[in-house]
Amino acid sequence: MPGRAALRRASFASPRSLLDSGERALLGTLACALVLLPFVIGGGLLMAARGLLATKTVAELFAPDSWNPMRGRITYLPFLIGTLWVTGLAVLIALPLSLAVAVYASEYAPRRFGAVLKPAVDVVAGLPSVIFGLWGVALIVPVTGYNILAAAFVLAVMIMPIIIQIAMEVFSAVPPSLREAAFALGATRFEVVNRVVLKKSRPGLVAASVLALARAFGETLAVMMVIGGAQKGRLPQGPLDQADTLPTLIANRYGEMSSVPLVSESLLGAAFILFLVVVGFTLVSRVVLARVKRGME
Amino acid sequence: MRMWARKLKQISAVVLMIAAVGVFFLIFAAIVIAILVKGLPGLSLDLVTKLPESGLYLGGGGGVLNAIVGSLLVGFGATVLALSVSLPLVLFINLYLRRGARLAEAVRFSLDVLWGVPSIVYGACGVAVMLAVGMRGSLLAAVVVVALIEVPILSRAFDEVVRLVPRELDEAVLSLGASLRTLAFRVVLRAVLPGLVTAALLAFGRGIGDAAAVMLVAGYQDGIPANPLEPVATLPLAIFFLVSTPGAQARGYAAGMVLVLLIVFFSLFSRYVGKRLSSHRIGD
Repeated sequence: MPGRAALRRASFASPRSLLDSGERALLGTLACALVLLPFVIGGGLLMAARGLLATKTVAELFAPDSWNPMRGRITYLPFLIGTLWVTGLAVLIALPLSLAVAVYASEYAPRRFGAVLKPAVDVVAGLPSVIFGLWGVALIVPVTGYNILAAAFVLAVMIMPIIIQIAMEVFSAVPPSLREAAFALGATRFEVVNRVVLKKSRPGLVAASVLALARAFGETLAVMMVIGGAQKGRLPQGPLDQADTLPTLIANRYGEMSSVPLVSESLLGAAFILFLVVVGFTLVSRVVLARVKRGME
Repeated sequence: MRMWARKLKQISAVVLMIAAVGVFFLIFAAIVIAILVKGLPGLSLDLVTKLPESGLYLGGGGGVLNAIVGSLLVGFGATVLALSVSLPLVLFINLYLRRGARLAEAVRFSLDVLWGVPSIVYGACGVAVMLAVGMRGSLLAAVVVVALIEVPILSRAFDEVVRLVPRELDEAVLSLGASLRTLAFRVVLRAVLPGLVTAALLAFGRGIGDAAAVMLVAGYQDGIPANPLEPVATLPLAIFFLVSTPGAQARGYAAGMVLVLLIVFFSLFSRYVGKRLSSHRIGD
């Protein structure tokens, strides 16, 4: 935009330009601080946890052991496996359901349906996690008991809105001309969806699931309310086992942080792992999504 | 492939999809109904007007007024703090920088990353800082940490609205000799005010609903904090404690109902305010 740059230059000599440049510097500093914030969080957590690496090797931190900081036994493995079970199952449950809803809303149903679905999805997306936890305790736990499966069901419901919202965006980015071409060749609507729309949106749908996975990975309270918790960090044996996840590890043990040696370091280390995994997931999915949208325009 | 086979596939796909839609709405209804059915018996005037008395968690008397007020305090403080960061930030990257500037893109990317960081990680950072300076759980710490969680939510929502303001407006305003400050804070801000209010209320809703970070940094007390350095109770945590206690479950659900009602109220309020304020709106 040459117009605005030129205008800005023209007013350079005016008396208020001094004030303007001060304000510019201030706002610029704010923006730079925000860009640095993720590095500060990640770096700060790593620094805070570095005492742990002085006494343990990385391999020891992920070895099959029990969790007993009093005796110096610290391992992330049971919690990592618990997290993987819960998030993996949640995505497995949520993905097919959400995709079916999104495909129906954007390819089959009349416009009016979207007007009903969107507010419902927004409401579910806006509910706080403790409400999902309550729902889980009221309806899921009586059937499944307090275990990984219950947590996976609760998380699945929590991530469905994310997948539906993004999937509908991705579908609407598929050019209508592609659908029309397929229809013109005599394809049924199912064939158009299956072979054109879904194929064309595959990267976007992968990104949506990764984003949902990231959300599920860090969820704390709702999971804590229904997963039961593991004794001394026992390795979870299957979906019907009680377990702990990395976030529930932090939430359950933060009270011991200032009293028991190495607990502070190891919990902040767990937060660092969460940060790293979630940031990685978010970055990958955002880059893919941005590319998908640009490629389709 | 035969025509009838293709038709069959088509029909069964539609049936499956409609079933999925049914399941989604069933889950949605189940959340509402479960909270209502389980919450109504425990709901009473005492619950929302009284502080906890000794043994509330054992089925004794009193209510969760401390947590309701605490949540509103944390949500309000955090939203004001987040607003004072997000508002200048978003106006800066949209109006002070040229289009597609590296810095603006870096800020948006950073906001994306921060948006994805789980609440418990912010809480852990808060605890790390508090342990280092020897501070205990307090309202102040909760406000700061929840504000950090709200900044990306608020900024991204506000950014979407500011981006929609037509560029011709900038040229018209600047050609009259106005400074960028006038453009940003007096013209554009007024045009996007409804969007800002909606974004702020969205962030506020997240703020009062947050549990994981608040659990780590807010402490908990049965009274209402007299100053920002005292610990504070919040509604999600009160619900969590009540439901985990066998004798107090009904009240936990009732408190859950109160939280849902609060959030629904603020989201309806944001829509209403958005409509009322849209008289200054430019373009669409």
